[in-house]
Amino acid sequence: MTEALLEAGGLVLGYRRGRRGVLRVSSELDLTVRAGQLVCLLGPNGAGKSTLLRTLAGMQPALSGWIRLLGRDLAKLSPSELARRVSVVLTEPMTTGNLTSRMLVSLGRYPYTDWTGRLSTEDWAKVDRALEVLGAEALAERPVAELSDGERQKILIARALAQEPRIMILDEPTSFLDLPRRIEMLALLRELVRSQGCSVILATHHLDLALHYADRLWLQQIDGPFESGAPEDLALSGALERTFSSRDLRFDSERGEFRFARRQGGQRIGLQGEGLPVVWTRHALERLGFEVTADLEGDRVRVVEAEGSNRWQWFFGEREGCEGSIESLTARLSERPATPRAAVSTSSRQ
Amino acid sequence: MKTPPGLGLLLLLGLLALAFGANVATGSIHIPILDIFSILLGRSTDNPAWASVILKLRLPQAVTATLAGAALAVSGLQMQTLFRNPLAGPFVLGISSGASLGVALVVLSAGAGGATLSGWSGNLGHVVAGIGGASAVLVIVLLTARRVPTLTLLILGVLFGYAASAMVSILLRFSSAESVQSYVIWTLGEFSGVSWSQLTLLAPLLVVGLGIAGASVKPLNALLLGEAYARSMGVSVGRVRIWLIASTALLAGAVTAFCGPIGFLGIAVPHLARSLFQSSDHRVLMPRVILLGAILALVADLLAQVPGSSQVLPLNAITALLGTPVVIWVIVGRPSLKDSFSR
Repeated sequence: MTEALLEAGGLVLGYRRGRRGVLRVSSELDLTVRAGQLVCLLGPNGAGKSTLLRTLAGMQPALSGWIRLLGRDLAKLSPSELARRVSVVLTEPMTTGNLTSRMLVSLGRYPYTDWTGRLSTEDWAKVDRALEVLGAEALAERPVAELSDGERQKILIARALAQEPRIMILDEPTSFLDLPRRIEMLALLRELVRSQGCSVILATHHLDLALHYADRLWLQQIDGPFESGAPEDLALSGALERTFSSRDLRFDSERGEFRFARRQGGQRIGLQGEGLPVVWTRHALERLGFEVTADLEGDRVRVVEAEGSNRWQWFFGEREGCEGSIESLTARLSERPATPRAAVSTSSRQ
Repeated sequence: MKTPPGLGLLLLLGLLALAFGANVATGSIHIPILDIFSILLGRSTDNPAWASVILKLRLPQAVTATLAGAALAVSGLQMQTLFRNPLAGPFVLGISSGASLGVALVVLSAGAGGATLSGWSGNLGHVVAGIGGASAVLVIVLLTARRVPTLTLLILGVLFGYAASAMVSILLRFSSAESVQSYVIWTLGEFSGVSWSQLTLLAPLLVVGLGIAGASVKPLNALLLGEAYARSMGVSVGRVRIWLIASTALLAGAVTAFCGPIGFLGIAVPHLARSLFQSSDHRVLMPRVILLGAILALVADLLAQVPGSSQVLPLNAITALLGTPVVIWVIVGRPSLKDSFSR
């Protein structure tokens, strides 16, 4: 076991609202974050993810409980001591000014510079190193205001990294990014915790990515228990499903993703074939609300390869045909009359 | 980083010297330039009255303009960064309104009692009143700042301004014609009313205010990213906010008390500097804003004296008329305002 960077016990999150009393956001939480871990915090909107992150970052006091950073009481650290241990990337929109990326990243050296804020050669080297780790050297002299969302996110993370924290806390760093950029970001963060020996706690809505990249998941529910563990353990124990499932959502434990619960009485349809074309045909059929089976009789679709391209043969009751694309296949399926189909498929199964 | 960093600064210093010289060299009486040099070097000249014009009137006026311009510009810069709003400035937040109300209370309630705007003892009252009024408004603004969004805060600042001028107008209604005139002249703004003896009070106040501002460049830079980020970088945001407000109250309050509520410079100079030097780094901006503010104040003062005539125009009219086109040209021509204050 690597060293515990952050430990918390009996932690109750919430807000004191003056005379209107106290708003509790969580039950008592016990947490541990070890060096080299990427922790993903998941939970529905309103479960208090940001509150937890803000509390761990020392930006807001907990209602009760304790937090220890590298063995020291977080509440007793001076702002500057805290800043040398924890850095953050927040969701709030920011005014970046006429700052170049490099200048923004250099602000990360704040806890280490003298009163003028002047950076030493060594500080600048660390700034450039942070840009390099993020693969953002090319952005260095560009004004932050001109960057795309993904580029800006990289610069913000580079700033947090230049602060040389032991723990980096990121609130939804993936939310404005497209899928490839999200994957890149998570892969990069995982690489970061491995190479820098720090740990990263990040809140995200992207369960699929969290399942693939997190060393540990924290599941925060509204009015439910807080659960933590390796993603695989949580999937097996059904904790993931408990956290996110609702009437219309079902967790597909095999694929590790949520999908709309299939409508009751969905039509069965057989699917035959091999490889990727089958995967995507299944995708399309499920999108249309079919329950896809491996039936070899009755209504079915068969994907075959002919003359180097894919063909979709279909058999619906009495009729049959062949299509050149999934789109025309789905068009064909949609125009099929509803009632006889159910009868046919039922009889064919007996 | 593209041009040598000190070049713009040297240029500004040169311009400041030029503006200061031009300001001293011009006025309602024509004094030959060689004689001005002689007077400044302490030699005697053809006309002994010239020496007293230069040394007792023009020189303190130019020094006042230099300091006041720098002070207003710096307080504008601090407020714009603290509130992260391009429209922030001493005026918008009601600091000057508060100072005006304080001064009005002193000038108008003194009434026929005889306290006028000249003289050390009278001015001490104005300065205390001005700074008191400015601080009171700022404290109210800050207490509110913890609870409301920035835009609301600006609206509140405007409302403070209305409330203050409402109270002033009530005071005006019940004051003697003499004190009303004295107050109205004060509101037009002028650097000429400040004598050497008054400068011994004004200058230290402004130097202290500028000193605090200069010492705040590091937290100001951190505040560019917003208070949450600043806090995460180890800034004691509450303490910094108090210092920035103390500095601004000192600078804007003292200038307003001595020279009247001088508009425009506080808001415009920071934008001008950001635009000209393409930077939001306060280590770059602070000295340049100081110099630029001083230069513009000197030029405005020069124009207000209408060189070659014995007329004097209201300083406030000049700062606005001179500055508005310049600022419009600069900020419309370049997108830096948007860059500085939006995502």
